Amino acid sequence: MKALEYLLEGIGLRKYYAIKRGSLRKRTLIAKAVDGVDLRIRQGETFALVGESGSGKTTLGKMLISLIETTEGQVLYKGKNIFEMTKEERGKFRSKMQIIFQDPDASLNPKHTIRKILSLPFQIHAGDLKKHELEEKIIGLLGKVGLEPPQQFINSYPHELSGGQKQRVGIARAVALNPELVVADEPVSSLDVSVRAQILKLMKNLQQEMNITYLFITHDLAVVRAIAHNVATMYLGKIVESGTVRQTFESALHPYTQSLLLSTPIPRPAIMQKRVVPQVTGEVPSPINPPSGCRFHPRCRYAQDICSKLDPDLLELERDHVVACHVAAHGGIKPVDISVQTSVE
Amino acid sequence: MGRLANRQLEVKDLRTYFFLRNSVLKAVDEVCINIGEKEIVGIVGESGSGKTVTALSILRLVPFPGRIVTGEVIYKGRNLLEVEEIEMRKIRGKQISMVFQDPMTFLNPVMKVGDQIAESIMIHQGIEKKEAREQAMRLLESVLIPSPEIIVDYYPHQLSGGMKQRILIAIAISCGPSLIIADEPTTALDVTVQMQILSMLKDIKNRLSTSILLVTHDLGIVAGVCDRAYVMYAGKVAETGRVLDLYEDPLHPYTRGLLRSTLSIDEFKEELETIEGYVPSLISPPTGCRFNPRCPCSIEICRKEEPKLLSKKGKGVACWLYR
Repeated sequence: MKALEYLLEGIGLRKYYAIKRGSLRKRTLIAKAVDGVDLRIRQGETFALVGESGSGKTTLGKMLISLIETTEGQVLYKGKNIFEMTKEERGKFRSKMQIIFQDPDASLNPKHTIRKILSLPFQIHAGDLKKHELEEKIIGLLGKVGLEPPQQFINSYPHELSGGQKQRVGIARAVALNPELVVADEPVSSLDVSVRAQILKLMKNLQQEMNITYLFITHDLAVVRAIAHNVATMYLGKIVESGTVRQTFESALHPYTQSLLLSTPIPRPAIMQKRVVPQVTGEVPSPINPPSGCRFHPRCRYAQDICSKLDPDLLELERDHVVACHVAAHGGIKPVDISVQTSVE
Repeated sequence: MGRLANRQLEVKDLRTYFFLRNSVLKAVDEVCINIGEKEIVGIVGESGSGKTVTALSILRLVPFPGRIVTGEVIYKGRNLLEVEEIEMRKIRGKQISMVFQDPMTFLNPVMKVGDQIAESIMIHQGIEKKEAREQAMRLLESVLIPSPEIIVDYYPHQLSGGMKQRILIAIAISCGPSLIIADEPTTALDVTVQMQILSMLKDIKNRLSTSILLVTHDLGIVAGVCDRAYVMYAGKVAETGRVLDLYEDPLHPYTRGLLRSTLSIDEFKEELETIEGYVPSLISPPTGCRFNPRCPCSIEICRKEEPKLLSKKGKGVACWLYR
């Protein structure tokens, strides 16, 4: 990986939603779904965005490939601001950015055959393909994602396929135009354990074959460990910690990342029987009225006075490893070891 | 298969089929399950394994067009599949209660949560409204709901997912049941909240001496919460035993594959392991062992004859490799 070779950068990204409340919908509240995020994705890597519901991870992902508008901030594609692109450049940018959704039932049109679903990207972006050329491309795609023999699937409708097969179609559609970046939004969350590994394996192989960069959005840290190179943990619209996959699993320092790690079930009875204790109290608060200072402080066992007053900045505590925590910044937090039989007092 | 001094509930040879227009879907086929006193038993399996239908069959809540074809559910010396429906209503919610995956399929959206808890107490214990409300408040406190005196007058939509699940648990324990059936109780929740709920279930078992049947797809949850577990595949029990034995020395190729393909945060796998293929259709399941088309160890007999669940090394396993 070449250093500083960023495919996509987000700078100071914010996304606010106005919510009308009250009897006549006259009161307007602001929900800060994403509130000041910087992030850099290198060419060819898998960058994971982790967080619980309401963390803003999906909103951020969609902003980066301009599926939704940003309230504030810039997105740079190979150093170029995508909001200043000409219409032609933007069309090309869009064909290079694709997305895989969590729920293939909602993202594949039930009235279309697999052939039709997979021919749409070509018709929109590749224009004048001849019929037999299109057919060849689709058959090639089906083979690529392991739906073989292709003839068996090409005339099927989505409901005739299993969950794993449908997600393969979703992946085929995303990689149809040789994209540079694919945003994968919880692509394996609705799948069974045995199928989950198949799909992740396929995504890894496609990454190597086609040099795809993934922005992988998930709440499941076990999936992150299996596929990601770099990880950013989000909480209530902000990145609280970011680092390599190794740093995230072996030396995470933000109390929120640590409680996520200790709350993730692992299939080892000797460790887990002792770990089933609440690692953190309460639930994620509403983004409409987030806590002052550090947004995690009401749930944080390390919280000090300063945490409720001042929002901590992301500090680089070691190379590539940034943490937004007042306590961690002064060395007040030790990494947790997830593979031993301990629980936090 | 674990000798149990005191059996709380025993499911014998249960078959629950769904009668579709032109076919029969064998969702649960010859399933046997035991739950001991003060024990948390897991049923773990992928979608279509029959784990939820097994749980619903125990309470006779199988939805149309499903029907329990044969079997026995022995509870306190009686076969629950033979008692009158009116009698069954007294058992449901009072002696055996249930917690579902999605609280909103169970909670009434236009009724205050306090009243919903009180309703269950009033119906099953014949207690006056005022006292039931006080009990409801105490229950809210026991499931760690902050400021119960305020929450008691809330409607479900005013509560978060985790809070709703706590209300459901409060209703489930309101009449001091001897068994709670929890079907994927934490699947819709965030992991930090999931841990809170799981630890509460363990606490309830210890505090109230309740048995719990936990249905889940997550091997990590079973590892953390259950004493024993049943691994189900395509409507059948593939393997059963104490959780520690199951994980450390899995016998059935399906259990092995499942454990190997389960991702875990404490190890990095360069090569992801998978079970090839997909879960079969239960309308025309494979002949012989239902796992044989995906099984790396399958031999000739696996394709012809169905293996029975037999004891082996303190566990139960349904596989021809162990004959």
